[in-house]
Amino acid sequence: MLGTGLLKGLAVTFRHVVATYVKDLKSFPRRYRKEPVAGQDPSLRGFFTVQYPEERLRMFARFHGCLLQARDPETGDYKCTACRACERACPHGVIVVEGERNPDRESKKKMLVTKFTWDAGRCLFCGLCVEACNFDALRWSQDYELASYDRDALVYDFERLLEKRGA
Amino acid sequence: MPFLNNLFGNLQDLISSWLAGFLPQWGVDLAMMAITTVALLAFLVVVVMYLTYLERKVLGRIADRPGPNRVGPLGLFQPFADVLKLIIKEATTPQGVDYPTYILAPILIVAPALLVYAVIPFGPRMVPTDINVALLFVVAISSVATLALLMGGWGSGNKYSLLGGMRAVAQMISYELPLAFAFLGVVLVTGSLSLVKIVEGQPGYPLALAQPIGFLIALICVVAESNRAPFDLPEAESELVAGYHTEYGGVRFAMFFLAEYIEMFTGSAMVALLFLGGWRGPILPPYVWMLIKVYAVLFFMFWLRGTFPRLRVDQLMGLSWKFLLPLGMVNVIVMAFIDKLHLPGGFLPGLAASIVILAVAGGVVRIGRRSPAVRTARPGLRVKEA
Repeated sequence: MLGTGLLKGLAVTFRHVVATYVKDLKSFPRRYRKEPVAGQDPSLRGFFTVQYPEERLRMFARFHGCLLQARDPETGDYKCTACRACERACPHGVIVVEGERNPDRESKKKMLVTKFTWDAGRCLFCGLCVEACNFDALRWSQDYELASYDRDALVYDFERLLEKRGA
Repeated sequence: MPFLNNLFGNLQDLISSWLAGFLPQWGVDLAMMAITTVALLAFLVVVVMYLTYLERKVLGRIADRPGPNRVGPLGLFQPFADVLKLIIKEATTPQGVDYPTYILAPILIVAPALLVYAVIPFGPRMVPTDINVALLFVVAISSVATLALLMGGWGSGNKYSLLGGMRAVAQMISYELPLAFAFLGVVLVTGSLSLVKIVEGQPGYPLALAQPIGFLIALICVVAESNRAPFDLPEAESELVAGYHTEYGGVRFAMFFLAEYIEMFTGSAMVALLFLGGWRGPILPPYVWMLIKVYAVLFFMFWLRGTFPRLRVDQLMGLSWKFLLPLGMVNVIVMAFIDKLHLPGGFLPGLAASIVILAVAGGVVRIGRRSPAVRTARPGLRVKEA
């Protein structure tokens, strides 16, 4: 019939308008969630956009974010042995590792890390360092907010890369 | 409640009685005119500012986005930021413009858009002047805007502007005719051209029920008259840069923008007054009812814009001359008969007749598409075989 296509189109757009309000109501008193959100499935209804500073996307497991120095879950100590495998694997030489023998002979840890820097500004995020690590000490984190106002701040030292306690 | 119902009338009495204390009668009249005008202008500017906000919000939600929400709570200060930006922007004048026409166009487009509000009532006592040819006045004055659009297009000395201006003229003249026919159906029933009397003369139901065809034609034509999507050919950005306002910037562009949104509001107000019963409605004060109806029509305009793609020029002309205009003529004739026959059943005879007219029109369009002449003239046309 004449004009049914027009009405159908109007119905489609109106459904979208209603769906966004339904989503608003569902998330009522607080509009934005603090915890990271999964990107919206296109088949779902309601807002598609993620309101970035208020909301953040949850990254997938293989995401290459900031490098992370893992801790041993039992002792809480860092896993890195300063073996320099990552330094050798890095094609750009953005990782610099220095270590020294642990003065405490009783400890399981033979080497202590005295210096570990990663220059994120020149990093390819290729992941060869993570692959090279024999102790599962070096990992990718899901953190992607690496921008800074200062080029020097892109050079991460060991403390900044170390996994947060209890995380 | 009675006080609220007549809030603005009471306010008017209060101010004029206070003024009468130290001014002669002509002074009071002059002051009241000035106050009314300033209040109306301020109201319109605020309305336009928040129409842009409302439009962006509605379009956003149609596209599953939240719309502007950065400036202030819920983005409510966005219009102020936009206006500030337009005001502080330098208004450049390109070389080779026809200066008098170029500079007059933005002024001439806003003037008629505002002038119309001299006769548009928002409530029983909320009309600056209730003249007895108000409807004619609105139709006549709003067509002056066509001249301004052409002036802007011609004065810019730019081929895209000129094309936009020409399109605007063709479109606005084409859509004024069916619009007038749609209005005529209402005038037949209410028996007056005064907008106040039209609202008061309407039966207890909105006339959109008794004259749905007139209502539909008026809706479509009002959108087309204000050059809004899907009828925004005069400023089709994919074809004409920005149409007649390509060479305007800053405040001059803001004038075109202001006029467009005021015209939208005017058109919605006319549809609300003529077909939706104006300020009449239960419980709420009249001016609230009027605004609810106007904003309902405005929402429909945004909805259309968010739904339909832009028409082609020949489709635009065809819709007006080959479909809306004949339909409007038939509608007026049939409505005149129904009005004279004094049939019982309120709006039902009108509604039934309208459905019959629409069905016949649909059939005529189908048969027209099937005719061999059309097939040979437009071989690409897809024809559904019955």
